[in-house]
Amino acid sequence: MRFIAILISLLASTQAFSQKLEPATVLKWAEPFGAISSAVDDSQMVLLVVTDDDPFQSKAAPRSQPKSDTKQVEVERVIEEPPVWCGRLIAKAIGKAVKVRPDLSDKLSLQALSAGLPPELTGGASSNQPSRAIVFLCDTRYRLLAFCVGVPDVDQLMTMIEDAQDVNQSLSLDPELTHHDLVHALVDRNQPRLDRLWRNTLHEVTLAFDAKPGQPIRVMDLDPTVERVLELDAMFKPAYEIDVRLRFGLNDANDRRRLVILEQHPQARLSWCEVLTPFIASFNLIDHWRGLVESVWGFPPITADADINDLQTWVTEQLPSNPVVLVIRPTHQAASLPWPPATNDRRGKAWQKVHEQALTHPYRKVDYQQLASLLHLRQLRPIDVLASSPIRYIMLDRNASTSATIRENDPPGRFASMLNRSRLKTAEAEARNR
Amino acid sequence: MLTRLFFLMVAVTTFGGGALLHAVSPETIELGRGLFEREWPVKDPRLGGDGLGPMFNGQSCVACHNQGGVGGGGAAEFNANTIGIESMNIKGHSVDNDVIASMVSKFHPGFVQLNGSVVNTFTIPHRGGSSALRHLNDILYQHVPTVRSEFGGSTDASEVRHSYATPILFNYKNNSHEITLRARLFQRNTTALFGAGIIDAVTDNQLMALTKLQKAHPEISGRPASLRDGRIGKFGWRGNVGSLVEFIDQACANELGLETRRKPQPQDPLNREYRNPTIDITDAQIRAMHNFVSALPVPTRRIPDTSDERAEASRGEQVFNSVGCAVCHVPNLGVAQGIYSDLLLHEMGHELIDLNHAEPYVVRRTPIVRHDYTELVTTERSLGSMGAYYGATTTIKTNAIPIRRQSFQATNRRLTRKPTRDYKFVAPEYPSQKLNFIDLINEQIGNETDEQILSDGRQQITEEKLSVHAYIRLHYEPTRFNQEWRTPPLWGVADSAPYMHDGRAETLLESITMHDGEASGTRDRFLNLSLSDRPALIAFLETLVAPSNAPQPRS
Repeated sequence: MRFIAILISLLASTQAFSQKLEPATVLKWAEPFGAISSAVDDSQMVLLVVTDDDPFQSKAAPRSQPKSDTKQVEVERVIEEPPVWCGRLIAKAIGKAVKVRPDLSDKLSLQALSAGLPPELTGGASSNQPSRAIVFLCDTRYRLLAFCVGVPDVDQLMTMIEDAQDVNQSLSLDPELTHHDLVHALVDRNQPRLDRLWRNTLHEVTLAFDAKPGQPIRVMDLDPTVERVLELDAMFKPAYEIDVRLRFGLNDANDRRRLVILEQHPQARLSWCEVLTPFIASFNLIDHWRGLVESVWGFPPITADADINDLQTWVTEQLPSNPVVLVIRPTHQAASLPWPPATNDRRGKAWQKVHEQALTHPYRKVDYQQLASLLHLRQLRPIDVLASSPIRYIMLDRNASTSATIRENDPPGRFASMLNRSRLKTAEAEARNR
Repeated sequence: MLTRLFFLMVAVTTFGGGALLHAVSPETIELGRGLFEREWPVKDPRLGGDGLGPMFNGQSCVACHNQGGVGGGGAAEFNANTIGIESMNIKGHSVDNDVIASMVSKFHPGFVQLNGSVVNTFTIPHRGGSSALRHLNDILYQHVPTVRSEFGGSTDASEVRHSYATPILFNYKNNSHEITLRARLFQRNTTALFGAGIIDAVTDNQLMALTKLQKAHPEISGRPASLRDGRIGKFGWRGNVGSLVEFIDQACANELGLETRRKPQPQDPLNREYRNPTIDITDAQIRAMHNFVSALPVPTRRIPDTSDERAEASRGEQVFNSVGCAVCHVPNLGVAQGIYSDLLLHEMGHELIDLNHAEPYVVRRTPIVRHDYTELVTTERSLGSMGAYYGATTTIKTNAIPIRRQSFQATNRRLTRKPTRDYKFVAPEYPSQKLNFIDLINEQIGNETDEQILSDGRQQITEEKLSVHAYIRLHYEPTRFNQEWRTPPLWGVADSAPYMHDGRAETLLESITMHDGEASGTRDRFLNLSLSDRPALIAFLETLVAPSNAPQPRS
């Protein structure tokens, strides 16, 4: 009996397989945040996959496609695989979704972005942390409609698409829709999907939101900085920490790696996404994706195409004659900690003095993105920004081949000595030149 | 006719047409099904007992056992609730057992047994009991941050998690004493009974062989759920029930308040004088229900619709074996083909503590014969409590002698024991005893020296005896018995959410990740799988479904 059932299903699958071999539209992946023709209709959506792949490696040489047998390739010809770590799984989910809803092949524009920490910022080694991914859905004006943390399967992707279409419809139907009204509509939509802890948290944040008057939605008028997203994340973070602790038995910092692995599955951060979405839906993703990614990953995303021409030119001009100091901007999540320390103790005072001294040298304030691009372009020695003590300064020597890294827990006197030595050398060199 | 045909099919399917088939008569099974689905009334005139209750969790078996058909598992909303005292401190002079009982009663009188002893767990029935008891239960639940369903359990898995995560803190002070205690709400999820007849047929030798096999494993060390009578338990989350018929017997008493010949119904702690005139369910009825449950079909494997899905499930099964899940979730156990369980107890980590603990691990049984020339033997008849059904409980007691008796004893025996000032109790992590004894022969010759009628109506007889005493000495191996759980069979797992003993895991991913203790290595290997392999393993588990021919509720 069982054998016959297997035989029937095998026959059925053979039939289905022969159908799948018919020519299908192959969906292709485009560069992120590219211009989209105004001719496309409002129902078109952009699916953007942001991963923590090495941005420079992905830019230079797309990741080799995993080997697969001919049959598998034929079955999945409906979609190309993006050059990211989860490309095959994403392609599979989209491929299945398109089979269920063939209209999606015309409605989805696919983009992938590698934005992880490159080896330049992880001490030269590839990160041994589990891989990460976030999937965004936005309209053709890059207004955020829905998102998930992790790699969705077909069911999760279909739910996301339906949610995104729901928001898109709201925005299209009522151009005068205020942000306030959209927030409330989405809160009402998402609330029944949440458990009590999340419902209560969402209620509290909604009350806080209501204390502010509603503003009409006009793209780019909303706060373009990442702080807005990080502020929201800070409001939801305690609930998320409790949620994952109870759902996955995560208790301490040692379980961090397990959490990162679990965040590859959208169900881990599903409720977090559900409560955040009402407040950030319709935000311009070009402005806000970095904040969203940093709030999930805990470090800022790095892309290969950052424009650091000014910085590069300045460094090139300065270095023959002067060593330069790069004052490192901390991550947004760590920005609340003042630097130099505002304390009046011995250490605080020492750092304040050394900081002032550093600013008398040629200096620039750089963030992780600029730093990664600069190290990559100038092929400088990699540094490790994930070490326990944050990097505060980098000193590039005049011969431009070496750099010194100064961390928060280093003795301030060490940096002061370096600054003094470099000042003396510069003075000597100037004297010789005269 | 169709029903008869169904049960005949069930019987053949379940027992493979083998040796067990002869025991199954369609009429008996049908009778058992009727009893399983019956809404039991209060005060059943046919037997003269009090029928349903006085305290009960559901009005019928099928009210909770209904996922995927009659006999299936139950949602979290049907969970049974137990309050357990984790730690306690009583401050004041002369804390004796009477003081402990009195102070703990202020928290809830259900912790005080009918014989006056105090235990650290108390099962709160969802329904029934005196209005005063219900009022006390309501007060207690105000301390538990959970939303309960109309059926009495938490509304869903997240509520189970929140209630477990939040301890109940209680403080009470009177003129002479102050009690501070920390308790917690523990829950038990309804298990599916599909294939229970097959599980009953698994032999102790097969379980011992698996135990021996796992001794050589570097991570996993399951142990049999050894019972005091020498058998190995196979039923219940703690494996503390030896056979299916006992499980049904105990469930009738504990879940429905149907007193059986062996198992008293739970008593209302605020109505201790109440006695059920007789039993509420006959042995014949228990046997009929046993026959019905034994004949329930075995869960099956769903064949995925597409070749892709079949390939993924097949790969998932390989991954299931390769990461080590199959060491405990053994695919085949004797006659139980496809059970995915070893039916052994495993230490599952601190997060899965429940104070209704597993039975201590009996590693050796030594027969002893002794001649005692004089012995004071006191006998009492114990009355019903619900705790042991969900697992054993711990007695809270002190060895201090009550102050009012001390002066007398000190005068006569020169005892110098001082009255206890403060009393502290912490729920034990391990069994407190290393040895225990079971009487075999206790032939006594002697005179009755004392006879008392206790305040609760029981008779206490004290005799001086010359006795020949044969007994078995049980040697316990200390194990973390609060966190030992029987490996739940995975057959039918796709139709039995929520997961874990209390239904705290809503999804299979959550459930796997909650594995700790012995299973932490396997859990980590699962998490270190590629992102495509993890869903494959879950896809495999999702093929393990409830039997398609399970009987469906008639109403």
